[in-house]
Amino acid sequence: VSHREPNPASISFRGQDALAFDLSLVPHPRLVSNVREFVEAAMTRIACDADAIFRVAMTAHELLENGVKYGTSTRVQVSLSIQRGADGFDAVVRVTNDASEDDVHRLREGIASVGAAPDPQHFYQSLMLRDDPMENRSGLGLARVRAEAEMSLDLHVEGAQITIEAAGHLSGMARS
Amino acid sequence: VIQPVIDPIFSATVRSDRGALVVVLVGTADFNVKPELDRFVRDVHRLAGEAAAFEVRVELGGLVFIDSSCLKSLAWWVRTVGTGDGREPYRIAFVANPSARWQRRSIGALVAIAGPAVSLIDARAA
Repeated sequence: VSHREPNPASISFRGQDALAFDLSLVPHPRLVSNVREFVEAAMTRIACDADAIFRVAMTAHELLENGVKYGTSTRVQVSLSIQRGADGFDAVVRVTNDASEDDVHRLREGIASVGAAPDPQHFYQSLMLRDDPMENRSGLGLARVRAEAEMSLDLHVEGAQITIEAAGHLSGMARS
Repeated sequence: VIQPVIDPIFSATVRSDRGALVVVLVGTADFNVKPELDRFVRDVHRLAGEAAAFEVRVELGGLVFIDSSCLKSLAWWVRTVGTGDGREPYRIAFVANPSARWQRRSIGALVAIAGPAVSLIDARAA
């Protein structure tokens, strides 16, 4: 897979009601921003709200960056599903890769901390306040997804394979 | 003289402007450019002190995206300058692109961790 062109295994639109795709990628650092741009372009087909597009694209970026930086597998999977619900759209972003035991432990703790924070924005800002800029594994990206993208986070572990799932509701983004 | 950051997807440059420094960020700041951005913001901080600049204006008009690793670089900077104790060496003003609403979200959260010496303003008001 060229790092210039994310190559979807499948992509489907259902009118302006749904969007879904799966990508299987070589975990190349330069691919992360390409994938974010791909998400933005795909979402533009069904959404007109730049804020909603940013929330989903930023989530895909942060989760994929995590997989590329710390994953141990030769491929990383990214999937996006957006479906119209009763009041807007529901979005789910998943990133799957293999990870070391240490990383699984770190992610469990990180996602639990983010989820338990009563005020996601305050939690995110507290990480920015105490972060050493040279420290890579701070959990800032996960906290950002929770605070800025307003997504909930979940971790699924199956052997060495992990999936981080971010889910959230997008309102007011449909094309008329 | 500060070396700019020049990458295929991102650039960061600085120039002087009547007692202030003007930093221009363009493109996508992701983890590929984080080491260079770390070096750049430390150089700008040092230069602002040496030049006794009253302000560093950070032009975001061409910034397409910034990821959490690069936000960390800026977080170090605004924490260092925006101490909130009234002895800030200079002000930092982030100048947002009014049509890029995400900058309000992302840079707004960053500015919120600092004192009043760090602000986010709309380019139309700058």
